Amino acid sequence: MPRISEDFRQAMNWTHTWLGVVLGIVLFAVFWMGTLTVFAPEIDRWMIPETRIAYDGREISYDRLLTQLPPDAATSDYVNFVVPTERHPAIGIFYRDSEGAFQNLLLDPRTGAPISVTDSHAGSGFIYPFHLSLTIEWQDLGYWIVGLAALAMLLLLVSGIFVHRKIIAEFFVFRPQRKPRRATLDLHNLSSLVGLPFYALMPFSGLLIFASLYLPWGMAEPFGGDMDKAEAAISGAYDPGPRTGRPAPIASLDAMKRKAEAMWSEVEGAPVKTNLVRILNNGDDSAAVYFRNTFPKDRVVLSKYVAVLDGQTGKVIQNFAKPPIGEAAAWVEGAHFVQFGHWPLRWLYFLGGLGGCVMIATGNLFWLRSREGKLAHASLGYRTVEALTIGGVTGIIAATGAFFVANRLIPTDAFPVTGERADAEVQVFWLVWLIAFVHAAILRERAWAQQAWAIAALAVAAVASNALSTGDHIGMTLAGAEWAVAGMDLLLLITAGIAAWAGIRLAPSQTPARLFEPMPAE
Amino acid sequence: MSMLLLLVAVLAALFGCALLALSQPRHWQAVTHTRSEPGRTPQRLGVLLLTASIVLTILRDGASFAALFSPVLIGSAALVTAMVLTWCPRVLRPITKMITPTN
Repeated sequence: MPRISEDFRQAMNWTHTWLGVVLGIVLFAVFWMGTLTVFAPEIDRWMIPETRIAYDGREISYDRLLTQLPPDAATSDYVNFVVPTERHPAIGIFYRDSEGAFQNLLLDPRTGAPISVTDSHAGSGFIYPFHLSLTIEWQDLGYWIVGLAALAMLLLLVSGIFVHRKIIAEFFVFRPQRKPRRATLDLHNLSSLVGLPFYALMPFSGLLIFASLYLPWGMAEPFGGDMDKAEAAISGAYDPGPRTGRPAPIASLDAMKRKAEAMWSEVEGAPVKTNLVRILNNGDDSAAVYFRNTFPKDRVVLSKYVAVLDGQTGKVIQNFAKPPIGEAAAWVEGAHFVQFGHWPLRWLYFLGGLGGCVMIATGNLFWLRSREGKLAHASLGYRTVEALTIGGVTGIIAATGAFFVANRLIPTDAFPVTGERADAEVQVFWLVWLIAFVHAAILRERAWAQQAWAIAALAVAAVASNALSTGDHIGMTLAGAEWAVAGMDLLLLITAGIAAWAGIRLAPSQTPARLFEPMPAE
Repeated sequence: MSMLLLLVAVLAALFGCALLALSQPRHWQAVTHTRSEPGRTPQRLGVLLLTASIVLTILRDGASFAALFSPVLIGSAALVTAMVLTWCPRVLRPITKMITPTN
């Protein structure tokens, strides 16, 4: 094996250090929200209590649902039904209203009646989009920032391997009793190495998922530069063309659904179910019905099948199955979306995500610890990184806690600064996060302990406010096996315990003595 | 059967990582409180158990899931091993006795 030169190692060290310092906090935010997204449907049920419905697996009649829709949805030219599952027990509907805006509704699977729900973006509407784009929609800027951070993550992983001198000898080493700088580096190395394949897969698959955004020209090239044709060939997208203006009733959705599922099941040799029923050009004689099997529960690979049937005759217009090379990409994407029904793996993803947060936070912390007691400690650059690290780590966790508490406490007729009640919860998140940065900039290292206590208090407040506002206290949800709500409450209580322990350990009386001990050469 | 395979795969990953850690003199000596060398046995057994863990996850879930499950399972087992070595290394002493019965 060729020996790694010292110059090369130093170049890698420089790359690792500055990419981490510049993009570490973005990476932490993306990893933190990605970790929560693993349980986004469960967070939805916690934040929108009206959807805490016991799923009984009953067959839904979409023909009947269509007759029960509110007028605005029933007359829409574009209606989507999201088939309920154990993790999404309510029937989801999204449609385009008469003014062209997209609207969401939830229906009770037992009656088909619309559910009057708490107006909240919850996990799927805020935490998940934050993970993808930091919710910065302008010119897709957020997606580009996250994409850049993902690319940086891959570079950080590779450069980190070269920076680490004793990668095998110190694989299992963690020495919390040593100097803080050494202990921080041990934890950074340990959390990096144990999750290395996971940390590599996540940014790689994330970049692949948004390849059409980041590299549209390459994808469209084989299709003469036409992105719509590329989408159709890759994912079975279908365009019914313009409406003819001739009204016509739609044929039986249930019969068409059975037909699509029978076609797929015959090819697969096992039952394949529809996840999405979409009516295109609804109410027109050019109507088509699109069925998709997006997230199979029993495999990692994403949807292979799309079927489009004529809305009048029920004849198959398009029967799409991904080619094998598409399935390879769909495995990588499925590995990122974690929508499969493998609960042990889902929990390991959650723990892997938390491990990634530890890795990123300790990386930034090590940069700070390396400069403690030196001239740089008072510099603007150091103070900026310090404030960004504290606000970016404990600050975003506290802001998430505030988001949960706001969800339970904001009254339905609240007047947020902009938008609706759901936006008010998001505004609380941003406000608390901003305050955390300012607090960190003013109090410096003393802010760690105070923000840890804020996290503990907010987590306990979230559990208490859920119990008080819904009556679903943790004893009841555990006894009733309502695992989504009970699990959320338990994780909040565990978070509170860990944060309180951290608050005690980081108390100011202990902090100065530990922080300024210089580290001997090792 | 599925739960049993999962349990055995988890145990194999945990013991496999523990044995790999014990194949390093610093951990072996910290656990045994001796200055003896671990020899090749812990490393060979560790690799064997990790391989068994991977095979069991393939048998249980198929290669597609196992390609995701095994790395995160073994990574988690490595983290548990590191924490045990940090705070309670004597927990691993029975393993050292099993592979060196004359000690």
